[in-house]
Order: sequence, then C-alpha cells, then structure tokens
Amino acid sequence: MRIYVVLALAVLQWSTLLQAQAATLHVVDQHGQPLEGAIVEFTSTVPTPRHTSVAVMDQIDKRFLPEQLIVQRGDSVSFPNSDEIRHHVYSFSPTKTFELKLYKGKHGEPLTMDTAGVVVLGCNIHDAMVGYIYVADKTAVATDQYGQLKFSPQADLPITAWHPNQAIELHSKTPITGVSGNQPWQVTITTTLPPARDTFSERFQGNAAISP
Amino acid sequence: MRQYPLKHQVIGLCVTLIVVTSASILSSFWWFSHSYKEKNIDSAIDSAAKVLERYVSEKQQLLSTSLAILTADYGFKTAVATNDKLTISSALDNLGQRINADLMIITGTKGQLIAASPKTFNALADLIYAQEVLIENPGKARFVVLDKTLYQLILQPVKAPRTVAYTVAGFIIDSKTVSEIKALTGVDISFYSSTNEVFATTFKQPQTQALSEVLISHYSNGLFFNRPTYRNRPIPMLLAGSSDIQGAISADLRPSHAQFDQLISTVIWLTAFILVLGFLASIWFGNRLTIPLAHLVKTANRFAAGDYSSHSISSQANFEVHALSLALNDMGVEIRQREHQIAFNARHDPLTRLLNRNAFLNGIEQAIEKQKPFIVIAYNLRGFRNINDSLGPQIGDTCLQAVAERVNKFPFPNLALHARLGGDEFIALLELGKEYSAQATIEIFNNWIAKPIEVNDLTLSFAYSLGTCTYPQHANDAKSMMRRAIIALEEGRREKVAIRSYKNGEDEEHLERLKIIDQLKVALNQEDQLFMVYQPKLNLENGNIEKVESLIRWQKPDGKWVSPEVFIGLAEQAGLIIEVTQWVVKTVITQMRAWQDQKIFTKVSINISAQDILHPDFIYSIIKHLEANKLSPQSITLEITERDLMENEQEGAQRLHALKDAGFELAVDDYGIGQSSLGKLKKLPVDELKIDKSFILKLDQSEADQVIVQSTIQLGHNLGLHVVAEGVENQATQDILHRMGCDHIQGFYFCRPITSNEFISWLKNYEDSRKPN
Repeated sequence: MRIYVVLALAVLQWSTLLQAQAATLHVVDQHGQPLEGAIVEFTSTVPTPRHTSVAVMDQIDKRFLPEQLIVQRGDSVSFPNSDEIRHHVYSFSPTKTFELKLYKGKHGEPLTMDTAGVVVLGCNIHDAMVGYIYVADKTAVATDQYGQLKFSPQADLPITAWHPNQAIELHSKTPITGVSGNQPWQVTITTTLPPARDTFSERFQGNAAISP
Repeated sequence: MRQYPLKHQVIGLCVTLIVVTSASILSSFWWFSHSYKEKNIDSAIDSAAKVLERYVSEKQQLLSTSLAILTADYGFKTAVATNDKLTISSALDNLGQRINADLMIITGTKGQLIAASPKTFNALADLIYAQEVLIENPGKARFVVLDKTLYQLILQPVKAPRTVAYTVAGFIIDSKTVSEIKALTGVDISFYSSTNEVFATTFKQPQTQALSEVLISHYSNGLFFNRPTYRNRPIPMLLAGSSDIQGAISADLRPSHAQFDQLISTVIWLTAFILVLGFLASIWFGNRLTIPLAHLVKTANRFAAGDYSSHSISSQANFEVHALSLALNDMGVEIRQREHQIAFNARHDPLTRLLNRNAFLNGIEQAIEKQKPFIVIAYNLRGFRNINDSLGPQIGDTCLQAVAERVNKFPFPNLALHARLGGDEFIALLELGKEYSAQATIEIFNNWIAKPIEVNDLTLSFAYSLGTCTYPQHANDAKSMMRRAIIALEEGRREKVAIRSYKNGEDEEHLERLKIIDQLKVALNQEDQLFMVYQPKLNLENGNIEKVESLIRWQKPDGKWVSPEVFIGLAEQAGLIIEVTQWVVKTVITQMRAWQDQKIFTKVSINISAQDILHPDFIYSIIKHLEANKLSPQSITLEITERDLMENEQEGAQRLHALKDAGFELAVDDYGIGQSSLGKLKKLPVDELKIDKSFILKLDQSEADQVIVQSTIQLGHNLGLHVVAEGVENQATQDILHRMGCDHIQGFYFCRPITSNEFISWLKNYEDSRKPN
C-alpha cells in the first residue's frame, strides 16, 4: 500500500515537472474542422500577469473590435465609439447587464467586470453587431486560426472551453478532461451555424406559404 | 344488287341527311361548348388560385412586418431578456389585437412557453414540432395544424443580440376564412387531412361524408351519363409540423352542366322535330313521285301485254313524270301503228300490197279447208325485163303496182286471193263454182289482166304467161298447189305456151331435175365424176386430124350416166353453166398442155353457152388459163349454138367480137335448126359453121337433106366460113359430103368421142395407117 502511495506521489511529482512545459490543444467542431476563437480557461502553472490598464472594446465600421475580448474578473472595459455614427451598446447577459445609451466617441467611465462569465454585447440600432467579453477567473486563451493553443494547465484543476457558436447554451462552458502533461490533446465543440447577418430588407422578401 | 323502292330511297336519303347534319352540328356544338365550358371552369379555378395565393401572401406580409417590428423593439427585447412575463404577455396581446392575429406565442430557445395569446393555448407540443421548420425560415409563413386547427404561422426570433426567444404569430384558416375567399372567387376551397380531418371548407355537408370523397367521387346526374360534380385542383402548400394538410380548389360543375345540358337537349329536340318533319316531307314527296310512276309501270305492263289503249294522265305528277306519261301514251299509239304495219308487212308484199307468198299459202290452206274446188294461177308478165331495161325500174315498179291494182279489182263472186311471188311473178287463187269452171275462170282472168294498163300516161299492153293448178285434181296441199302452178308456168314458158295447165308427174320431174343440179354441184368439186371426151374432126380435103371437139361426160358414183343434154340444160336453167364451163375450160386446157408436151398439136373446140358469153369474167378466165399453160387462143375454137347466138344478139355480138379479137376461133353449132337469118350470121365474127346432125344422119337417104346441106355448104363457103358436118354415120354420107366440098366431118363412123388416152393411141394408129408403106 505504501509502495502505491510512494508511486503515486512520484508520478504526481513527475507530472508537475512536466507541467512546466507547454502542451498543445486542438479544438475542432463536430465535422473535425479547426475551430478558431474557442476560449479555453484553465489554471496555469505559470502565474498570469495581471492587466493594469483598462481593456478596450472598440466599435469600428458597425462591428465590435475585437469581437471577443478576454478579461480577468475585476478588470474594467471601456467602450469607445470609433464610428461616425452613434451606437447604443447593451448587454442582457447575467454576467454583466448594462446599457450605454446612444453615444459617440468615448463614453464615460469604463465598466468593471465583477463576475466571471460571458457578456454578449449588442447594439440596439445595429442588430447585426454582436460582440463577446469573456470574463475569466483563471487563465483564458483563445485558439488560433488552426484551432490550436499552447498551454500548461495544472493537471488536477478543471479546464473549460467555450465558443460563441457552441450548440449548448451560450453561457455554459464545456469541461475538458483527460489532459495530461504535454501530450497533444483534442477537444470537440459542437457548433451551430453562426446566425445570419440579419438585415432589415430580408424581412420583406416575400415567401408566401402557398406558392403556385 | 338488291333493288330498293324509290320512295324508300328518298326517305332514306332525307333521313340520312338530317341525321348526319344534326349529328355533326350536335357533336361540333357539343365539342365547342364543352371546351368553352372547360375553359371557363379552368379560368375560374385559376383566378381562385391567384386570389387565394394573394390572400395568403398578404397575411404573411402583415405577420412578417408586424413581428419584425415587435421583435426589433428594444423595450420588448429588454422584457424578454429580463424574462418580464407580464410585459411580454401584454406586448403580445397588444400586437395581436393590432394585426388581428389569431395566435401570438413567445417561446424560449429551448422551446419553453414564455407567453401566449390567447392564454388558453395548449398545443405547445405541436408548435415545438413545427418550430424546426419555422426557425429555418424566419419571416416566412407556413401552414401548421395546432390542436386540430389550421394556422398560417410565421416565426421571428428575438435577438438580444443573439437569439433569446422566438415569437410566433398566426392566423387561423377556418371555414370562415375560405368562405371569404369563396365570396370573391365563386369556387369552393377546402383544407383537410388525408385522414379526412376537415380544417376549413366552404362545403356544408362534410360531417356525414369524408370530404375528399365528396370532392372526388361525387357524381351528379347528367343528360346521358353521370359526371363528376366538382373539378378539383390541389393547392400546393408549404407545411410545417407533422400533419399532412391538403388543399383543394373545387369548382362546382353543376351550373355549367345544367346550362350545357339545356343547350344540348334543345338541339336534340330540334333535331328530332326536323327529323319527323323531314320524314313526313319525304313520304309526301316519295308518294308524289312514285304513285304516278307506279301508274306508268302499270301502263307499260299493259303495253307489254299488247293493250295499247292510252291511259289517264295524273295531273298530280311533276313535270318530268308528266312528260314521261305523255311520251308513254304517244309510244303506245306509235307501237300500235307500227304493229299494224308489221303485221301487214308480214302478210303483204311491200311494193304491190298484195299478199306475200306465206300469206298466200295460208290462204290456200284455208281454201283447202273449205273442201271446195279452186284453181291456183301463177302468171308473169312477158317481156317485163324489156320494160325495166328501157323505161327504168321505177316505171317497172309502177307497172307491177298497176297490175296489182288491176287484179285486186278482178270482179269475181267467189273467193279470190292475189299475191306477188317476186319480180314479175304473181299468183292468184280463184274458187270455182257451178258457173265458173276451171277453163272459163282462167279465160276470164286472163282477159281481165290482159287489158291495157295506163302507167304515167303510157298505155301498156302486157302479155301474160299463166300456169294453172286445180284443186283437188292436181294437188291437195297448199305448198304443192303453189309449186305445181309455178312449175306449170315455167313449163309453159319453156314451151312458149301462154296458158299451161299442170300435168301430173311434172312436179316429180322437177324435183328430179333439182336433185341432178345438186349432184352436179357436188360433182364439179370432185375429181372422178365428170370427165372430158374428145371427138376428132377429119379434114376431108387432106385427111388430117387437125381438130377435136371436147365433150363433157358425167358418170355418177353409182355408175349411172347422166346425159349431157339433160344436165347441161339443167345447169343452164339453174345458172350453174358458168361453173360447168369453167371446169371444162380448165380441164381441156390442162389436157392440151399435156398433149402438146407429147407433141400432139390438135386444136380443141369447147362448147359454151349464151350465159358464158355474157358473163363478164369469161374471156379473162379462159385467157388466164391459156397463159398459165403457155397456150395461145388460136388453138381454141369456141362453139356456140345457133339458138344461143340469137338469144341476146346485141350484147352477145359485142362479146363475140372481143373473143375473136383475142384470137379465138368461133363456130356456130347446130346450124340449121335455129332461127338465124343469114343477114345476122353475116354480122357475127364466126369462122365455122357446124351443120346440125339432124340433116346429116340420113343424108345418104334423103334428097331434101342433101339439097339443104349442099346449099348450106355453099352459103358457108361464100361467107368465108369453114363448114363442119356432124353425125356422119357411114361412108356414103362421108362421100356425099366430100363431094359437096364440106371441109370437116365428125361422127361415129369416123370416130366416136373418146377419152384422152384413147385419143392418143387412136391418133397414133390413124397417123400410122396413113403413112405410105
């Protein structure tokens, strides 16, 4: 029995050592295609350096920029308007519900993200504008265009993955298990098609229920 | 081919024409009105389909626009995002009232019901099932059945900015809805499931019967057959949810059927009316045509039976039939006249209108039946040929008519029949009585007809030859009576007697002669019956045999000989002499050729008749034979009897000159018994005189004959003619003739007529005996 404990400890020690090295995670969709922009949250073996400045969620050319903004819980985010037109940014997400009524240029004080979770941003004037702020408790990294990211998570702590087009509820996260050492690992996230860019004219293209 | 009555044909034609015309009008009318009706129904359904489509499209537009505005409203989004159910519910009610929607629902993204208007909505399961399709086609209407009610539904997501909920709005499509459309289009519209669940219909009776059955298999009574009551067209539908929903636009065909049936039945009634009218008219017309025709047929049948009395002419008949009727009447009259004419002609001679031979025979038969004695007189006009030749046949005919008129007027109390046998031959039957003996009657009759006749202002006197035959003495049947009268006439003519009575046995002789003529005809065409014999003529001056006379002989197959005098005479009478002479000429010339080939150059004389001389081809045919056998005419002497020479003087003389010119020698045969004058003899181109044997046979015993012969020889010599004596029977006669200076003799004493072969050997002997030893 003792021998087992010793062995277990040895393995643990070994794995801890390995964790110092970066592992590669592949995130793919249900079709095996690399999924870009999937945010993986984990407890890093390397302490994450904290932001001191305010994060920026800009609005350029009727789009949120960046589309996905990763901040740590307690960080502040400012919503400058770089367009010539006004925007009315809002969020009904439980993580952070707010409404920045029609404004141009800088809008007052940055908002502090007190709760970890996903904040879905919209513009009341421009329905097609959708942006996401990922408020992380731990270290959060997004996959690159190849659906890959390098990370060195602590083995015994939970790892989660999230993607804006995930099929499951927007605010839930997919737990990742079985990651060990620096072995490459693959995670599948079932997605739905990104919602079509809803334009006003589309609504008036008649498509009657009875077609001759 | 079967023959149909005209009337039936007229009726058949009329009825056929009407039926064919009506049938073609009816069928084309049927076809055109049917296709017109079909087109109308189709266009009604087309327009109904368009109206329905328009209706649905407008509803969709309304729902789509309203929902889009609602879901884009920030306040509404806030309410949804914050799950403010009261606000949401009131917002739905508000919009529902505004657009008059029958159903307004909002559900969460997981299908949970957030709010519904009306609040009684309890078909969430149906809705969630349908939502899959609706979500994929936001803003587009679909048909959905929710709790057995048909809806036109549209879905719009609520985005904040990602989809947080779905709003669904819809209109119920029920019978009220389709009734509105029916009011616009006039056609029925139904929506139902394949399990015969009816959602909406304009029909009143779907409860008792499955609707699809009503639509498809409902038939209504037609004029001739049942027809579907409805014309259905399925409505293509965009569906959502599990229910199968079928839509149909149904045009009720009954009104157009009724209209169509009314038209067709009107046409049929009209056709029937015209048919009856045409049938009656054709019966009337047929009768009008056929009744007069039947009348005409009766008349024609009457004519065929020999009744030519005219018939009554129907005034009812049309023009052509009337004309035919008149023509038939005329024809009857004409036929009657002609029949009389034919009957008359059958019994009468057309020229003189006396009885003809057959009618006369009948008359004799009838006279025989009376068992009274009568006399039949055959008579002809003597010298009538001269009248014909000199005055022309027209005058000749007039003479015959005058004779007929004369005999017709013969005053005779008893039965008298007069007939013409042909040519100038007539015949009469006169019944004898007490005061009319045969002899007296003949004389009276002869005197009556012998009176001069006036023809074209000419007074002509005819002499008649009469041959008589008395019943019952001479014959007792009609044909014999007639034949024997004619025989008597011929015999009388031959004997040159004016009135000649039949002598019993003459008929048999006559028949015998006819038989001989028939046999002669056969003999002429056979090789072995007729043959020639030759009698040498002795030149008294030098004792030479320079000439022979050819003579014909006939031995019948049974071995009996027929005398040349008999059959030549008969041949002359029967006109057969031409053929006999032809045969003789041919045989003699062929024989001469054979002789000349044997160096026998004897001249040959041939007997010819007056008929031969007058025959136009005679000279050519004899010359043709001579040329064919390379003989000259100079070797032939043609002997003509003195009687024949005189018979037809003028023409005969011309022909004799022609023969003489051709080179033939001509001899006068039987000289001395005819009636020739020396003056006439002088004019004829004759080379030789042959003294008739009646003067020679007993010359040595008869002084009178010697005188005649002596002077004849001198006369002949003086005229430059050779003189030949026939019938020399003894040396004494020969010596006398020699002394008298006769040039040639022939006779049994010197040599009888012998055959060619005998002649050849005889001549050889004769020549030998004369050679000096």
